Amino acid sequence: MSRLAPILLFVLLAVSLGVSLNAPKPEPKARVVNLPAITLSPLDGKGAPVPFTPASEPVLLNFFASWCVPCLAEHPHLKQLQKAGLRIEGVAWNDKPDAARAWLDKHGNPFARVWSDPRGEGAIALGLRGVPESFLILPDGRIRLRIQGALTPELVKELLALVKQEQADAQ
Amino acid sequence: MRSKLAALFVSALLALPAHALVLEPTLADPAREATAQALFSDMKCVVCEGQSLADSDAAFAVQMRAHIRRMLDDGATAADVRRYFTERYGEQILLTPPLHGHTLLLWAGPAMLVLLGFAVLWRTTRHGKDAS
Repeated sequence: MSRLAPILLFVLLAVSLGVSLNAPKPEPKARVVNLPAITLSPLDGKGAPVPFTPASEPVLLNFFASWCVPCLAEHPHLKQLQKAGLRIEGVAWNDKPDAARAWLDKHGNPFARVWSDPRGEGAIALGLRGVPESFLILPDGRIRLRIQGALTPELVKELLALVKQEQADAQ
Repeated sequence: MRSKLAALFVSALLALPAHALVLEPTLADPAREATAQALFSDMKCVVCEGQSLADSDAAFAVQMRAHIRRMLDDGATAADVRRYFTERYGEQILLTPPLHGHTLLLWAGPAMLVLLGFAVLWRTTRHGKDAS
């Protein structure tokens, strides 16, 4: 039995390691559920920072950057969402306004408004972990969906279905 | 010889970590600045791999440090800052996870392993003595 003990211990460790590595990564518990009070600055540099408030329709707030490769990968999906009628507002995160503008000129601008967050306060208040990251904000201020990383065709479908459902529920 | 020493001194200076050259405005109150520094050392940089907020030169880490200093300057306590960040980033942002139910194993695990080691050692030595 004592000879078997190390082998059993090894098997136990290997199994627990395998299980923990293959387990789906739990979504961090702490999440902002309601839109916190944030102020954003217009990217064109005209005017003082203004409070970002929910609109009368669902809005997708998308943090992007011209230096971010996954942002370029998700850009066609944003354009697709815009074409489908979703209002999208963009925040150029840790980016130079000129670079962000040039990037949008080159790849197309799906945003109804483009903001900057020079002190990162909006990003911190929302618990941003990097770019791209998107928040679906409902008219009542709830953050209905948060997408860390680039949008995919599946997420686009999910987003559109959610927006449709929320709009139907609101009527 | 002198020029070689000078060259060595200059290259040693150049080899200093870049973050040592980043100058950030500190808080006027030394006690609050000390609280800020302690918080920076106990929080992870969320856009880096395995770096504390204190060690990171990432633009977002710089913004987070400035944000924490502003919070402390506005009268927030260290506990307020921790709560604000854990509400947004989860407890994973803290380098010292708080002790409660599901972190108990994390804290007690090493001690339990040491005890287990001693138990195995004791058993093996006793077994050896019995055999001899």
